[in-house]
Amino acid sequence: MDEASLRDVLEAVEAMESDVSPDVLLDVLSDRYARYVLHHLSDESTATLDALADTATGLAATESGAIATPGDREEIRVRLYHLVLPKLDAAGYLEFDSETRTVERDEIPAVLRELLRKET
Amino acid sequence: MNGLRDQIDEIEARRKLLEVHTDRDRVAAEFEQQFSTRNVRVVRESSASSADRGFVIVRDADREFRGALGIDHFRAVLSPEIHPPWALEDADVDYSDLFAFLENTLFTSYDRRQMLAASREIEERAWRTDAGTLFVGFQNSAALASQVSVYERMVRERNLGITIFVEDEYEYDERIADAIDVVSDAGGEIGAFWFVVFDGGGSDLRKCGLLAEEREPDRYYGFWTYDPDRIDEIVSSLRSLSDS
Repeated sequence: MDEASLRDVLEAVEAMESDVSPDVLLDVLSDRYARYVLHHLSDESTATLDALADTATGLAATESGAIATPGDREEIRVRLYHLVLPKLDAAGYLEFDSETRTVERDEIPAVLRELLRKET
Repeated sequence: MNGLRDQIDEIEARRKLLEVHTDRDRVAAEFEQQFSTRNVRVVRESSASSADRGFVIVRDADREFRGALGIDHFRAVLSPEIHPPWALEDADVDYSDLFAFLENTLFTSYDRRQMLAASREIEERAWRTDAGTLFVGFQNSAALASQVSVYERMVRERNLGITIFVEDEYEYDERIADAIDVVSDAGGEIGAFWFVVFDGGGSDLRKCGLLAEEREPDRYYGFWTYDPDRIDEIVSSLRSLSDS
């Protein structure tokens, strides 16, 4: 993220209601797998862990210019399950049911949606 | 003998799925056309991708994930540049990744240029391995004549054996080096196929091959692989032809 868009984020966060924590927001924005998940959820309100792993793996491959192998996908799937989805759940952006391995979109702050839209 | 045909039939039974994640109609249509074969089913997934960052996912017959890559990259795989092996040796691109990705996938409607590009990738492995035997099959001696200088250089500069199969009676050409065996008039099905198969020079990891059939003029149908068992089968059927 360049300086100008970082300033955008900070200004937007300041302007927003106080319950949106800049720390959480920046943490999410700096994690590309979190961005991929939110990107997927901007189109669909529910998704399975497998579908999210597919999208994240495809977008990561596009960004790196490399071919993602089944091993790469498995790593990303594990990362989503243990790290990324619980984090986004804790932030209140989505609800992750680790038993059914499905995700339901919750409240994704407008500023985040706007930034993700710009990025792509 | 029908060994080569059996190989294609076997691959045909394993139909892959190509998921194209894109918002662009044109891109999805392009791949549908490119894979207009009953062996790769093309499905468009428009939901979760954006215009600039489309990607494809390849799945095998039981829908297991086999690989993903960006659409631009995928296009490059489908239309590789033709490089002679000594140029590929220094190339930035890791062709083995590309090769692995579409391994054992039937392709169709490759034209001659794409066939040559795919052949070059196999020859490049042989070149780097610097040992072993490369088996090459041409449909006729005119096709062989256009490529013979490549193989001459390979035997001159590398410790490789090359066996060339050609369907019709080959007019002995003094340009062909002694280190190249030419099996002409091999009969059977040789004339129906274009193949380049490398026996790995003693290493399973280096085995690779391409086998295709020209079903319409300048339209090739076949697969490439580096599955060592499959290569062994093809090599043994070719060896039995060259020994007879």
